[in-house]
Amino acid sequence: MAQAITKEISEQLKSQIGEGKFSDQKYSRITYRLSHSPETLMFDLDDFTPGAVVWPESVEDVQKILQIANEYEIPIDPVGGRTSSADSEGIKGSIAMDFARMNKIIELNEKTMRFTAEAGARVSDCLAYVAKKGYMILEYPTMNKTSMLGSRAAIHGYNKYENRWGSSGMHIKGLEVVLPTGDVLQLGRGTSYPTKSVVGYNLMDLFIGSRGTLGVITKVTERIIKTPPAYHYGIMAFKNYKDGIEAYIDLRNAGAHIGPIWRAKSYNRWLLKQAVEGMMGAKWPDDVEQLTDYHILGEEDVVAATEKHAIDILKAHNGFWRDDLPDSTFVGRMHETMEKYMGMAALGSDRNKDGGLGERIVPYDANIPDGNLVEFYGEALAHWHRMEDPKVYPNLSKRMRVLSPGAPVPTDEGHTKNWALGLASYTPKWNEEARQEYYDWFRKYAEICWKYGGSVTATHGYVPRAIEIEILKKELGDNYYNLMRQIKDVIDPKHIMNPKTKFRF
Amino acid sequence: MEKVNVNLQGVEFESYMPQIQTCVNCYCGLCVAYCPALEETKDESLSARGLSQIMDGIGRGELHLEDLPDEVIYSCTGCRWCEWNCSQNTPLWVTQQGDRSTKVSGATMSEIMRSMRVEKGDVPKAVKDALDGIARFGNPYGRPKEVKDKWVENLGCAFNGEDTLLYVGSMVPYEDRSAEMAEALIDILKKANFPFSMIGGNELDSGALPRYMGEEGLFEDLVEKEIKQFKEKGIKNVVCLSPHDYDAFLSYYGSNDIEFKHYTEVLLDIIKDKKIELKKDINKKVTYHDPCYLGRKHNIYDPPRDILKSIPGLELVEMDRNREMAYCCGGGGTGLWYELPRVHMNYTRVDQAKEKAVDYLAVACPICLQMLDDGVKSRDYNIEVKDIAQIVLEAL
Repeated sequence: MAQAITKEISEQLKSQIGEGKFSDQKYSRITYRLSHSPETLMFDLDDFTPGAVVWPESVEDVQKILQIANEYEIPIDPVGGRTSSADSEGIKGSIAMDFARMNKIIELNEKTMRFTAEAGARVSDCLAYVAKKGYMILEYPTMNKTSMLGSRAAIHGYNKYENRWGSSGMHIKGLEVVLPTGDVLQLGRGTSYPTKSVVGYNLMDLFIGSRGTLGVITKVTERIIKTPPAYHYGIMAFKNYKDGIEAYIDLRNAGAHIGPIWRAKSYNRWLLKQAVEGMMGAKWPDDVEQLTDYHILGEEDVVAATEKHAIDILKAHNGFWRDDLPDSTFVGRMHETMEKYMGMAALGSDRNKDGGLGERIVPYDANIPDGNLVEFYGEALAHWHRMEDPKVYPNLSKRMRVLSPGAPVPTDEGHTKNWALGLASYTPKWNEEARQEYYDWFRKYAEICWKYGGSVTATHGYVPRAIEIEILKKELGDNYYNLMRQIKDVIDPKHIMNPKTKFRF
Repeated sequence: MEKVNVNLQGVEFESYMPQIQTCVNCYCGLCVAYCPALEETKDESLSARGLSQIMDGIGRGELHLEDLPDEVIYSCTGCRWCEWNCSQNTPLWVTQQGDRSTKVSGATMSEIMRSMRVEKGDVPKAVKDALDGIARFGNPYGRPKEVKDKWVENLGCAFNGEDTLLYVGSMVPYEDRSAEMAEALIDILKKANFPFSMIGGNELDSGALPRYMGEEGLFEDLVEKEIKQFKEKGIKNVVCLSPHDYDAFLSYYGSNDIEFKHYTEVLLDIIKDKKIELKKDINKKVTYHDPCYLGRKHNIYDPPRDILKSIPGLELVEMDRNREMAYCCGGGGTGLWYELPRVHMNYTRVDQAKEKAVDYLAVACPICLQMLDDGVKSRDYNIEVKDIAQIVLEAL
């Protein structure tokens, strides 16, 4: 049973790491309790308020904090950018560990093509640093100005360059991890470490995506590439989502063999319509339902040839761009900066009760294989709307609505991230009936996803905490879950590491 | 909920709560990224995202003003980064919706808390002294108006019925470096035969300073008085030395029948119209620091740079953090008056200038001038901090 942070423990922490790196002031604890996760809307905020906040400045600080936490069985909540929709909320009584001060860039090695930084280095700073020297890291999340390199590894996030390069874990070549005991592990693969060992397990991948449940990542090494000299952005509109999605699939498949298309996406018109009509005062044409866009990076001649090929593909699926559509560079910019665009869409939505106030966007990603997408979409759409039906969900319907009626965003190795942007509201205050209805809705949603080969635990991965273990077991199977649980028990027997998720006693 | 009697530009405290809730819910973190108060301390409680949680805590009755140290309330310099980068408050939105006080940012939340402190009569001494000086004498140094009258008279710029007013603000001539900046500009304007005059000691603070300090009532009182006397004197054009005054007039009054300009816009026109000749080579490497209230707030980035580029021999280089991304000098809000132990934005900014190995660090704001000059001296760097007017004067 976790212990409260007593005065004695506070003093011990302060004496070990220094007074300026510790706060148990109420305002600090309140600052670090929330996150983008919808979970905090459904329960009392007190349930998420940490007992103290620490700002380690070195791996030695992290070791000391973990040793004390382990001794007294105090939960540890490693804090990154906190923009994740899953698992990033605070833990009552925990030590919130903010890595903002462990943000040093350690090395860019042009011989090994590796880049190393401390876990708290902001991704945008890392991108800028390597760009100055003519390189790129492939880590490029939407929230790159906020996200930290260590938390990217911890959540195994997705990237702007996903089509071509995959998710975070594919770029990571080395990790430094502190275990709950305070022991430090150096993990890796690639130039400095064996790519594959015949005598051991791939322990680095165990920590990638583990969300701080096994240890604390303190240093990350990523691969770099030379910055491609040419870039092109293109976009086309479609009169129905089927054309747009099929165009995307062809585009992505073409990219797979011709190479330089780095990302293609397909968007339902909803988001852009909101952004354009709400923010620009322009009219979005009613007959445009889907948009598909792509980014091409590479050598100039290759980009030019690929661009021509891409246009042919989109046109073959009836793609077009017209004068009554907004400037495609504006649209492109909005795509580039999804964060602004989502915010605008939310704020400008006529689905909001209070002009977007007091509500939170909840993304539902299904990760459906592209080939099943069209069939999935029809069934999921009806279910998404069901959450608003007071006859089916009398309590839930007062607290959630579908902001976007589904925006298929195909990404990542043939699986599709399907955005249904739910809006969860603070008011009226959630009661147990509403929560139970939501869990029921979510279970049914998960069944639809699984029916079409999808996953509810990938990408944004938000699963209501109360049914997380149940959902994990169903999606992964009991044996898989139990093995994970055994691994957790071995590495973190006192369950102090981010205990809110997945492995509760 | 704690009883809070705060009114910012006619908007009651309670009216901000829904917007604060939006910040609490949004949580995208763009307001956190590159917030200079956060950069200095790495403590999210001082950033807009943290402040929204804290304000929400106050609104819920969980936190009280007494629970908050000065650092939380007075670190924000109102640099507008959070507002500029906010996902729900894009530049497009700001342009369409107008004044920032209708939206919530780190600055507005800090100002609300500062107003609450003013309301309780619990204000740090340095801030209180500045506010008292402004309330009694119209300037933060509490100096009598006769000092300014005499200064203007000596310069031969006393009001003469011209409809163009040079508004130098409440730091001039009481603070030496600001006075030198203003004198350089006046010298140039005279050489260019630019028609203008000044109103001497009748010129009060525009209200910008008390507004940042949480005295919204004093802001409104001062800006109203200033606009009234501009109208009575038949002023049609006001050239502001400080971006903060320029912003205060524009955000309160707009540009109805009086046109407000920052002096760099006027100076660029003078150079373009060849009213002055930049004859001397300034063989110096120079970088320009964008004042927050000129750049991010009013999108004036190019006139200062164009002026510097027009000076023969001068090599203009950019700091890595420039234009929209410019780092604050630290003097906004209450920064110029009230130093907090962990917050030294001026040191950080001069470090950024030092990285470029410059001779001059050019500014276009009297607050930036003081803060960065202090920064250079504290760091013992061999960089001269000069206002653009001073560099232009050097080239004549």
